[in-house]
Amino acid sequence: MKKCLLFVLIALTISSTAVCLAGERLIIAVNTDAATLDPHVQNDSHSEQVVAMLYNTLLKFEEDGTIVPDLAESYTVSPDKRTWTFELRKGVKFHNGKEMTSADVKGTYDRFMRDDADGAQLVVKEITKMFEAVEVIGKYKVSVTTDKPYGPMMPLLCNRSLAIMDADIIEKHKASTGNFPVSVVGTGSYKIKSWKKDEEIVLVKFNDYFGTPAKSDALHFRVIPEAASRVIALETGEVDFVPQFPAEDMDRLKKSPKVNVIQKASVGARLFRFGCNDKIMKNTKVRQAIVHALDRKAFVDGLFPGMSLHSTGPVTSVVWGYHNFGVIERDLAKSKKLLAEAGYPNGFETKIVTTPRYAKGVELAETISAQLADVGIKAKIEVLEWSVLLPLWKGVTPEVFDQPIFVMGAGTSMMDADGALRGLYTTTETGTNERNYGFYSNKEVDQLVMAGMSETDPELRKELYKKASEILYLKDPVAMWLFDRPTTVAASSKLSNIKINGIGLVFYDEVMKK
Amino acid sequence: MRQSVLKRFMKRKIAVLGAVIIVLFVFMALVGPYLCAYDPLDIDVLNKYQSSSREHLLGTDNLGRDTLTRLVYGARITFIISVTSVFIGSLIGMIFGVIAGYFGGKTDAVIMRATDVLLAFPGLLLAIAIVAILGTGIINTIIAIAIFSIPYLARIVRGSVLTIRNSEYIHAAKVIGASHLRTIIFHIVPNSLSQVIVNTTLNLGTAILTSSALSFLGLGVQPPDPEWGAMLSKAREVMRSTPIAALAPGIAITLVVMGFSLMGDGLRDALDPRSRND
Repeated sequence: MKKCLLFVLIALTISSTAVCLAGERLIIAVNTDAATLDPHVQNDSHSEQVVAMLYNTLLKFEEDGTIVPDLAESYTVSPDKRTWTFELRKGVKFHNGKEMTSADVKGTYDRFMRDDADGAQLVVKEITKMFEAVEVIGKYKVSVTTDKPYGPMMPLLCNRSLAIMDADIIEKHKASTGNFPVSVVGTGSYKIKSWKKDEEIVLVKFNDYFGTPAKSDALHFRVIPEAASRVIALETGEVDFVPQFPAEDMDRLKKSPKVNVIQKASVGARLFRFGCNDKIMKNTKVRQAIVHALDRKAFVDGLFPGMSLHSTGPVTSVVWGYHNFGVIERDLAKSKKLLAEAGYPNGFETKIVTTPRYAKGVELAETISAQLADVGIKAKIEVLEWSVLLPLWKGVTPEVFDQPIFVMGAGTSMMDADGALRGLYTTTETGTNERNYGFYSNKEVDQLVMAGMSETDPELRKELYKKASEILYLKDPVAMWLFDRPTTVAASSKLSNIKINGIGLVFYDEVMKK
Repeated sequence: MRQSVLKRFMKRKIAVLGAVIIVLFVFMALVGPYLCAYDPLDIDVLNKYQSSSREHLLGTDNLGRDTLTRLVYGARITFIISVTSVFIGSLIGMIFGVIAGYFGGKTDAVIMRATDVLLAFPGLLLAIAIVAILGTGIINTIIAIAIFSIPYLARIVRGSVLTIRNSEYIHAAKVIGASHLRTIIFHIVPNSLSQVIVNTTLNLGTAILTSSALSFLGLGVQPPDPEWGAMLSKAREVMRSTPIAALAPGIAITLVVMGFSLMGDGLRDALDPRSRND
C-alpha cells in the first residue's frame, strides 16, 4: 500500500512538473532550419533571429531603432573620428561559464580581419573592410580603429554579424564554429540545448545572463516547411508563433480569436534587379522603360494584400538615410517612348530568373512578364532552386552571368543606407559579381556612397544618400522595386509583450505567455 | 479480323467509357482553345482565387487567370507531352526489344542488363534525375518520360519476339532466304504489335501522371504555361478556401489517366488471342 502511494506521489510530481514546463516554453514554427549559428557566417533572417537570442553585440537596437549599449558600457571617439574606445560591461558570462573580456572582443574581430579567416565563408568580412586594428587596452577596455572615419559605426556595431563570441571557441572549432551545439557559445539570454538539423533547435534560458532574464524557460524553433501546416498548427495551439505565413491566410487569422496578427515596418523590400552585363539591359533607357511599365498595385493589393506597402525609394522608411521619392506609377506611353529612344520600338525578348524560395517568387515573375508584354517586351521565366541560384550570385564573371532580370530580397541589418547601398549597388573591383550580383556600375553612385561612408555629419550624409538613391531608383535604375515588406507575424493570443524591431528581429526573450 | 477486334472492344462497356473520356478530352484539346473567352496567360491579380461564377465557370487561379481556360490549354500540353514521349519511348523500346529477342545471345544479354539498370530506378525518380541533368522545360520533360518508358517496352516486346522467333512461319521465311531485316519488319513486328499497342495505351496514363508530377514539383513545364500538375501544385496552398482551383486540374488528371487505363485494359482483352473465344 505504501509503495502504491509512493508511486502515485511520484507520478503526480512528474506530471505537475511536466505541465509546468510545458507552460513556460515558446514554440515557434519556422519554414526552414537555421543555416548556421555562427554570427559571422549567417546571412538569412532566420539564422540571424536565432543568433540574436544567443549572442550579444557591443551596442544594440531597441524596438524603435534607438541605439543603446549592450556588451559595452560606454564608449569614446577619438578627435580624428577613427578610433572608438569601449568600456566593457563587467561580469558578463559566456554560456560555458567563462567571463567575457576584451580578449574575446579582439579574438572575435581579429577572426574576420585576418585574410584567411580560418577557412569559413565570413559574410561579415564584406561590411567590415574599413576595420584597421582592434587593440586590448585593459581587461575591460578595447579600441577599434578604422582606416577612415566611418559614419555609421554605431549601427554597424549593432549588426548581429559583429556579435561577440568566445575567442577560445573560435580558436578551437575554426570554420566549423556554429555548426553544432558545443561550438555555439554566446552571452545571450538563451543558450543552446539541442539542434536536430531540419527539425528543431531548442534554446533554454541562461541563468547567468547579465541583462533582464528571459521570460520563457525555453524557445523551440520547430521547422514546418509547409505554410498551411504552420498556420493550422498555430490555430490548434500546437505552436505559439508563426513568423511567416501566406497573404491568403491574413483575413482568416485576423478574425480568429485565438490568433493575433502583428505588423511592423521593416528594412525588407522585394525587388527584381537588372543584370547590367546583358547587352539590352545595360541601356539605361531600357531599364527606365521597364520601371515605368509596371503596375505595382498588382503586387501590393493583388498578391500581398495587407502584407506589403508601396516602395517609395531604394531603401525603406525605417532605414537611416531614407528619402521619399513617391510610388512609381504605371505610364505605358512614357515606357514605350523610352523603349523607342533606346532603339527597341517593338520591344525585345528577355528572361526573368526567379526562385520559389521567396514568397510567391514565381507568381511575381509571371505578373511582371505579363505586364511587360503590354509594352512589347517578351520575358520568359526561368525558375531556379535556391541551391542552384545562390552560387550564381557570387564570384561569377559577366560572361557567365545570364540573368537579365532577377529576383532579389533586400534589407540591411544595420538599418543604415550605407549597409543598404554599399557593396550591393557599387562597382565591384574584382571583375566578378560579389554582392553586386547584377554588375551595376555608376561612377556617381560609387562616389556618393563612398562619401557617405566616411562623412560623419548626419545632415550631409543624408544629402549624399538622397542623391545616390535618386539615381538608383529613377535616373539610372538598378532594379524595379515592387513593394516594401513589413514584418508580419502571427502569434497565439495567449502571448503578450511582443516586440519586433525594424530589422524584423522578434524579442522572444521578452514575450510573455499566459 | 479487325472488325472482330472492334466488336470485342465494344462489348466491354467500361473500356468504351474510357475511350469516350479520352475522345472528349482530345476534342477539348483540339477545339477548346478556339471557344475560350479568355487568354490562359491574361493576369488579373486583383481577382485571384475567385470561386466558380458566371464569368469564370471554374473560378480563377493564383494570378486571377481563368481556370477553365488554363485547363483547356493545359490539355494540349498534357497530350503533346504524353503522346510524343510515349511514342518515342515505345519506338526505341520496341527496336531494342526486337533486336534482343530476335538475335538472342550476347546482344540480348547486353540490352536486357541495360534495361535492368533502368528498371532498378523507380520511374519518377529516374525522370527527376534525367530532368536534373537536362534542365526543365517541355522538351526535356518529353525526353525524360521517353527514356523512362523504354525499358518496359523493350522487355515486353522481347518476350513476345522470343515466342514468335521459334514459330514455323519464321523458320519458313528463313528457309526461303528472307534477310534478317525483312523477317523482322514483315513477320516479327506485325505479330508483336498488339502487345505494343496495349502497353503504349497503358503507358500514356503513366506518362501523364509523371509529367504532372514533374510539373507539380516545379521540374516539368515552366510557368506561365498552363499544365495540370503545376496548376494543382499552386492551388493546393488554398485547398481550404478555394477548393475548386485544385479540384479542377486534379479531376482532369484523374479522368484522363483512368480513361487511358480503362481503354488499355479493354484493348488488351480484345487483342489477346487467349480471350478471343469468350
